[in-house]
Amino acid sequence: MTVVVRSERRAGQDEGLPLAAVVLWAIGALCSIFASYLALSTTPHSVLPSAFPVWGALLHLAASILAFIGTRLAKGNHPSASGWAWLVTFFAFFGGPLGFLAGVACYLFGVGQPTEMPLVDVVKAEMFVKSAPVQYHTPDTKAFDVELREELQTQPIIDLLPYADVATAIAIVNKLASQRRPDDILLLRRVAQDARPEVYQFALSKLDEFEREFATRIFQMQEQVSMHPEEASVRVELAKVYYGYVTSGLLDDSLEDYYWEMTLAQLFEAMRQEANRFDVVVDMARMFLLRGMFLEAEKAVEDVLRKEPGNLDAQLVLIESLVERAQAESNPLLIQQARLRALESAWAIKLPKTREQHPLFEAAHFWFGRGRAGQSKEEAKAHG
Amino acid sequence: MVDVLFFCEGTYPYVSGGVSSWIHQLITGMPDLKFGILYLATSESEERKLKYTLPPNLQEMVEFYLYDCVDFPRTTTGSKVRAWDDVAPFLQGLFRGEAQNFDKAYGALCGPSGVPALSFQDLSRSKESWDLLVDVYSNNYRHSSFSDFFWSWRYAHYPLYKLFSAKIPQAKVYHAVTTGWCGLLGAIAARRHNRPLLLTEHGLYVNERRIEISRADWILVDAPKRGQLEVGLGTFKEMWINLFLGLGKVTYQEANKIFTLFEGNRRLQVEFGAPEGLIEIVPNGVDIEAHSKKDQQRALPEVAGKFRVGFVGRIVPIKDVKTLIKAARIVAQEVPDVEFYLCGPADEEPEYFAECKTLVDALDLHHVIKFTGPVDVKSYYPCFDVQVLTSISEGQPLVILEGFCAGLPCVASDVGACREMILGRGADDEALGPAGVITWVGNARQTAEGILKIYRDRELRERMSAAAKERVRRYYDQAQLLQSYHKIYQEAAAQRVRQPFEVSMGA
Repeated sequence: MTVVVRSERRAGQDEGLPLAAVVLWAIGALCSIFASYLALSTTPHSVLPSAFPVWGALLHLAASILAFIGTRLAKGNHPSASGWAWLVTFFAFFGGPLGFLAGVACYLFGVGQPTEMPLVDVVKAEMFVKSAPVQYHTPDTKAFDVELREELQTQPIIDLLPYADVATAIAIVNKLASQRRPDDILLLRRVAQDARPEVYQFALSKLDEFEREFATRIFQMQEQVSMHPEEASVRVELAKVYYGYVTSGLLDDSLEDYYWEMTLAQLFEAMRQEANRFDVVVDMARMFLLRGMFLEAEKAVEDVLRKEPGNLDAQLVLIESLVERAQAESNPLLIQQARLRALESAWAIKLPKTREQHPLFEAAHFWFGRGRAGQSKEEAKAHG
Repeated sequence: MVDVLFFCEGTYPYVSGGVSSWIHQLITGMPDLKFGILYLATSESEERKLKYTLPPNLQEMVEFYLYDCVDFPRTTTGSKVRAWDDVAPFLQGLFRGEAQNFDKAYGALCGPSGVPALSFQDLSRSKESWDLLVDVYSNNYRHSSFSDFFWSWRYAHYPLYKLFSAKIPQAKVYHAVTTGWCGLLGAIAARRHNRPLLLTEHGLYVNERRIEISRADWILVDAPKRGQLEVGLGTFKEMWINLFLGLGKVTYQEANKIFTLFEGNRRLQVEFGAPEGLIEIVPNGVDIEAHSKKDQQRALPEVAGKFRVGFVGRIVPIKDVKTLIKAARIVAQEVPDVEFYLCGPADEEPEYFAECKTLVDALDLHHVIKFTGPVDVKSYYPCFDVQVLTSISEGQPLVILEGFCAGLPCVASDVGACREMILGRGADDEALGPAGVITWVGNARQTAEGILKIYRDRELRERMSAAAKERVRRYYDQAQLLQSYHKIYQEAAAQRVRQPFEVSMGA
């Protein structure tokens, strides 16, 4: 027969109230009440020794002793047994029947309170305090400086990776996880192929952390879509989350394709629901563009521009796509085409009189330098 | 008095899994021996349910709670000054990952007559204990917060002191299934009752704790400085890892014989401080007849053209079920009639299970993936075409062997003994041919490609199936395992003095 027992005796545990203790307390209480009665029923001003309530005093003493023994029995061999017994006796002796009852009540209220906080709880409490996020002060730095530093940090990591020992590899994982750009995640996936279990498991746990974040956001947005199926903006938001996942670097090619399809499905559905929402089409075109699908991006924004020639976002995406395609296909004609489109657009848009430039002007300036595109009307006049 | 007392932590009989199945297998397979279990748990309040029907020859079961408050004996004997001289180097060493002075520390903390020289009060609240704590802090951790160090030290030492005063039942042979707290308790038991201690490690406890601690977010880590690569895990994580490394070394030192499942583990044990000469490899075994019955009832009807992929295991992060789900998406794109059955309990980590289900929803795989819950896997194996195991950590998974009995090829990640189980160990074994495909850990694409490779080539599948059956018959028969351990127990029990011994395993 199998017997399950614990191997030690727990401290700080009250093992129920023994009946004997209850009986002793009850007798004690009766003794105390009767003692009070005897004491109070004597002649008040008599000074004769025979008038002293001997029986009352004896009963009072007996009640106190019973209070002590009862409490001692109730507590058993608990370390605090003696302390409790003396406390209840003190109440019983100096407080008469009311003190007796108060003492026992005080004891009963105190039962079950741990004498010592279990260590595990203390440590949990300590850890709870620790687990609160810590805010570290980072000095303000110029954006360019930060960018440069991050780049400078990544390359040595790539160089170091094949020779890193476990501690260094784990530090690399921490570093990449804290930076968390798509390139870092790709590198993290590379570290996850390390042969050492400590390293690859740590890298996998970090990747899993990121994946969980996306999964939670996708789940939440899917719930939103199922609650408001006719609302295009919710679908667009879901598509954006999908797209974020696609470009996060976390996915394999085939899963990337799957989520890309899901992105498009949501966007098409949003467009079907609200045909006049050009921002959705432009968003989609931008996603096409970021995935290198230039022709699809251009086709989508051309459609928008046909219906709304002044749509600035569409113009920007179109020009950006033409420039990117020109670089990808090494086709200078496309640059020319982009320039023309930019100029056409720039003229189509009324420039503000202030020196604050229009975003399209900035874009044209960025790509083509300070040429004709970079001249305001005033400058053009001045140049003749 | 029982013949063999197992020291278990987080395994049999409350948690199902490889080690638990192995213990159950040994107890039920040796009805002529009386067994006992000493189960280590964090606290009595932890919820535990028996996962196995306890066999009749399991005659004693004792639970020990590492962090519950107990009444420590207050009586001491002998010189406290000398005792501190013996104990202090042991405690200091443990936090450097060393196991020096264990015999002297044992003498001071257990005493030759069972009465220690230092009581718990001495160890935790005396001036000497405070001085020791401050000394360790000043020499090693002075750049970290003293408060954090103080609590970490206390939290680590409390179970240590408890174990030294534990009441351990007598047995002819003590058998620890991990190092760490279990191993230390085994070492104390072996010394106290002067009986041999055996140690069998499936996964390496030191390694597993190291991984767990490096990933833990409950241990404070200093904030990294900007622009610097902070090498190391942080003071307190390293302190915990060193403690388990030290406990591992104590167990290795005190064990009279060490067993493991495969060569890779043996190498790691040596690396972690085990004496090479004491280690023996005893692979897992499986009841071949029970798993390869021709008239075995099928859980699923046979459907022509359907390709069924099986996963047998708990739905927990260590099994990396998410990678399997992602692989299912890739496979489903090519094989329209594929079904994935995930057979195993999901109640151990409900949060993870919920995440897996969310992923199934997100990847639109409701019609492809089915979570069966705990089932009689014997009736599922014949229904599968291939078995998949995507674990990120394993010893020598029994489920692969069970699948092999039914002629199931396996696509498994390259962890533990999976490689040698699937591709073979040694020339004779390798000559049988591969019984599946090995993939990289956490790689959904490779897992999917492995499944697709077996799906596309029917001939290959049949060759793998034949190799699987033959491999398990030749090298992983349960009868061999039981025979080996029976012999080990007999020879250990026959010892009069505790000392390392030789066991002739035979084939």
